[in-house]
Amino acid sequence: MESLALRREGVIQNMLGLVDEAMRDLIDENSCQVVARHATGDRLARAARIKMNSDCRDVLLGSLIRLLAGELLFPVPDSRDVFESVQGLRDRLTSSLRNIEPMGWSTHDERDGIDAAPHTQCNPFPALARKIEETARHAVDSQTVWDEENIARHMLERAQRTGCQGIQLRNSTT
Amino acid sequence: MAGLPPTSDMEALSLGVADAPPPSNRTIKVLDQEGDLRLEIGPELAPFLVDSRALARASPVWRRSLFGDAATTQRVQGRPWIVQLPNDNEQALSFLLGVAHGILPKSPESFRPHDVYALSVAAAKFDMVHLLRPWAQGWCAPLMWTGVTDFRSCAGWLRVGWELGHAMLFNYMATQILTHVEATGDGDLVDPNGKLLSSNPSFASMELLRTWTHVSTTSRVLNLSQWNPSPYDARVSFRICLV
Repeated sequence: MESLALRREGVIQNMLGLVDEAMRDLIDENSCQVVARHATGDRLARAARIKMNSDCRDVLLGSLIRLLAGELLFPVPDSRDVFESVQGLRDRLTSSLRNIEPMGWSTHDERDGIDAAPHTQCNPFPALARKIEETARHAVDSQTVWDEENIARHMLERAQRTGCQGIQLRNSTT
Repeated sequence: MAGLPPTSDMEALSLGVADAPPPSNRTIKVLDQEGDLRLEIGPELAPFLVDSRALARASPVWRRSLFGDAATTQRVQGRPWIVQLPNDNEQALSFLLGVAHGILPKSPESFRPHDVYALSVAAAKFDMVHLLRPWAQGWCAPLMWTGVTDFRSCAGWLRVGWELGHAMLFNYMATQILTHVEATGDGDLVDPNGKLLSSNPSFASMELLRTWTHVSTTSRVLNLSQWNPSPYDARVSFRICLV
């Protein structure tokens, strides 16, 4: 039982780690790098050309904090303090991130020497939501492969007797 | 079962030898006209007339229980041989006893999932899973495509996959459980209805959760070159390759 609890916490930690990472990027770096990390395609290319100013980061960071606070996830908690299921947290996070409305959605000003563009161009949150989904899926899958030799051995022994699809053990003599 | 501790079911297995004539008024189900053993199964003690040697041939558990030292000392010569199994599932054991006597059931492929669960548990308890070989794969595969309706079902199908050695069913249900399990402030795990996982008999009997660790050991445990998965097992194959 303890093992399952640790695995659940590990998957949740992976998801929360992405959110925390995105927030730190918005604080410490140019938010275009957040876009580059979480998005791809033409939209990214255009967004990456926009030189972010501090106003842009403030808008995105403030929006993210507001979202997390509304979900009681700010400051980003330790996985041991999250009691809901992996699926529950994943759905709650991704739904919120996809529906986020960055404060004001005001446009970049023209002082950066480029055309004014709305913050929707550099909105990293839908891509972050996809990343969380992928991370959760991969983490769950990798955590539920048969790990221990005795589980694999048991499954093989039963599969040989019942004809169900089983697995073969390395160096198995049976 | 090499390397695995006994399940709680196995530990609980003991055959009660009845002294008095059976209290049941139900018609006896004769599996062997020349049978020498009367089994009384389930809470209603449904009577079955069976051949003890047929059971001993079908399963070492029966052999030990009926002909081991402890069993022979309990058997009284000259009196009807009656064994009661009040805690076992009558339908499931009826199926298994029939197959052990060469009596094939009608339409086993149409069994409901609940029947498959009961059969799997009973077959594992009496070490008779090999008798399910003609139907096991056919029972397990559809369970994954019927959809997971609730957490309790996940635990049940996980147990079926475990007992019958169905790789994909076991893996799929394990994934579902890891995804849906919740925690309490005390660190206990609960299902979405708030029921403690440790109280679920399907988990308690498998030793599964204790051994659900060490992902990195998978690649050296498995010999993929010897394993030819069917299309049904493509998902399992994919996962193993990821490790």
